[in-house]
Amino acid sequence: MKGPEQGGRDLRLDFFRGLALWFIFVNHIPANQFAWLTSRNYGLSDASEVFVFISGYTSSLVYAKVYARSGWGLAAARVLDRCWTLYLTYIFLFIAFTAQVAYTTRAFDNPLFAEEMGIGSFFADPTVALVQALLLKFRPANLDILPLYIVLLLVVPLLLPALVRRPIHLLALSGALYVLTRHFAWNLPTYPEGGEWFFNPFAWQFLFVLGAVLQRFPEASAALTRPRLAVLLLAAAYVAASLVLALSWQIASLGAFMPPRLGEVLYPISKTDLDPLRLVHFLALAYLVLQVARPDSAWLRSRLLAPVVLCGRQSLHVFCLGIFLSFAGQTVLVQVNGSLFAQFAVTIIGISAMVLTARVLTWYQSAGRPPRPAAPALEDSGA
Amino acid sequence: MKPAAALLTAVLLLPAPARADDPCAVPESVLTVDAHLTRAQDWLKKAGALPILVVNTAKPNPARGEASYPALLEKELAARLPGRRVTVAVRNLPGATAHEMLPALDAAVQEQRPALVVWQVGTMDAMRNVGLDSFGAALASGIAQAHARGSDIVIMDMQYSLQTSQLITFQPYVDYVEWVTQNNDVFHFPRYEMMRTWIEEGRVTVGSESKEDKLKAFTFVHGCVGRLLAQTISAMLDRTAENGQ
Repeated sequence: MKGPEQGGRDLRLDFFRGLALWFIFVNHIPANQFAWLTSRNYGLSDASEVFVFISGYTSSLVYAKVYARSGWGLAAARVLDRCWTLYLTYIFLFIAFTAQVAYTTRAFDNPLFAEEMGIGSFFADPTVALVQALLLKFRPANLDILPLYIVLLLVVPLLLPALVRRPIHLLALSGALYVLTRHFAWNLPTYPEGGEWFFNPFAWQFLFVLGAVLQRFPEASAALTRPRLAVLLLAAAYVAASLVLALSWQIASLGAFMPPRLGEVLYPISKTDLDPLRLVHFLALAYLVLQVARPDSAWLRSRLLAPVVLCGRQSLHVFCLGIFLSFAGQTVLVQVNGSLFAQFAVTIIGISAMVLTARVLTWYQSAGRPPRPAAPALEDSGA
Repeated sequence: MKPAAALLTAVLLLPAPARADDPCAVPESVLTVDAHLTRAQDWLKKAGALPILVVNTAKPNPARGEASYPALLEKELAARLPGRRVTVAVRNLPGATAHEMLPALDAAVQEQRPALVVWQVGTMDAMRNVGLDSFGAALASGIAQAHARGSDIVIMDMQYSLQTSQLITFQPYVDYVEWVTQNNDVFHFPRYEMMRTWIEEGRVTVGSESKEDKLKAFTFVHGCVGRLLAQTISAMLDRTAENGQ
């Protein structure tokens, strides 16, 4: 993988996935003021949509090719291999997380929280604390996208035959599942009883499959994103309305202008069940962005944006590292120093670590490997 | 407690509100009085009394009873409503989610016939990742129950600290409380955002290891919660009275 153009690789995938990973990292540090810079404050959808959609698209790109060339067995094995890597990373994250939990839970020892939450006693006993963490009773806040990612990747082998032979049927089924899920409020449970997944896989699978199916129809996808004045205006109007709405939640003086009725009609805009308003916002935004981000756009190759592209190319590892770093960064801000400078430093150091890791991985994967003229896509991270 | 004594205590403990140097003060973007207490105002007019019921998930330490917000709410409100009998009863339901609190909430309201219910809710729901829709449905039923029994109700959300928020996802539940209360024209007492303000501005520290600091944090937060709650309840009563005229 010497030049970015090699193998006709679509740099847009890498760039936007990389950007989503940066946003996810920054957004997942609640104490970080720099989260203001990310897209979620300016519209209804956020980096999660970008990440899930592109993951679907690239899964299709990579594994459908393997499936077509080497059959279902190898394709399924490749996916499981990826899941295994993900799982190992997850275990590592888990241990690191448990240590951080033990450190953080000292706060629960404060009667202010212990009396109302009734959890002070759990943490008096480290064994119990560890078991509570193992059971994911206390998960790090905001990190629920990881289980979604694992589940979506795990079903890819089952989807492959339909994706290659009957993509439209698959999309229809996926859409039906999405509609039924929203109608019947299906979701997976969590421990302890009564809980459910923050990212509902039955709803979010639709975006993943949509990405995968669009990848199968490059001409149709290109036709769909062709500039048309009416669509451009509609998408721009929707994105602008979302911007005003999102800002009205943050800025009280703007919120005062919002008619209360509007809120009653629109809210709650569920992230758990991928509210259609979010879905449409993502599609409208994607349509607008794709007008300036063409496969041959020169800016995608600029040196300034190369670090983003690099992170997007190594998405699996960078994603997991980002999760770890956001929790670690949060712990630093909470326990050591929460000043604006510390927030800035944590953000910069975290992103630098992600870029460095992506760079080392790219070097390692290409080093010592005989140059292969064909099939560069196999080096894609797959999801 | 006699009104005079209550007034004195209140004056000694917690000086007049809404001063710029008031350690409890939060900006208007955090706390705005935007609802009415029609039932409580009626009660006050007819009976000259304001019986309040606090329903919460606390398992209180009796040694700290005087420093906890229900006790302070009683003192503060009594001071603000001279000549009226303000009583605050507490029903503790430790470890209960909104849904699990409903039967006991209804039974307590039926038995005690309070003019106003303060429902502290959501902590357990967030800890157990209860589905947001069912959390919202339970909130709405609790509000409807109280109204059906002729009591006003205000909703108090969760406590905030960086440490607890790192392990428990509170924000979507806080947002849901805001949404449900707005839809039902009920006051949402934004304890979460208030505590965030105090902590971020360094007015209170909750991460400390020392026993003394922990007690200090407890006293500060409960003191301010009790005071601001009394302040907003009396402001809502005034608003209702003005509108009624």
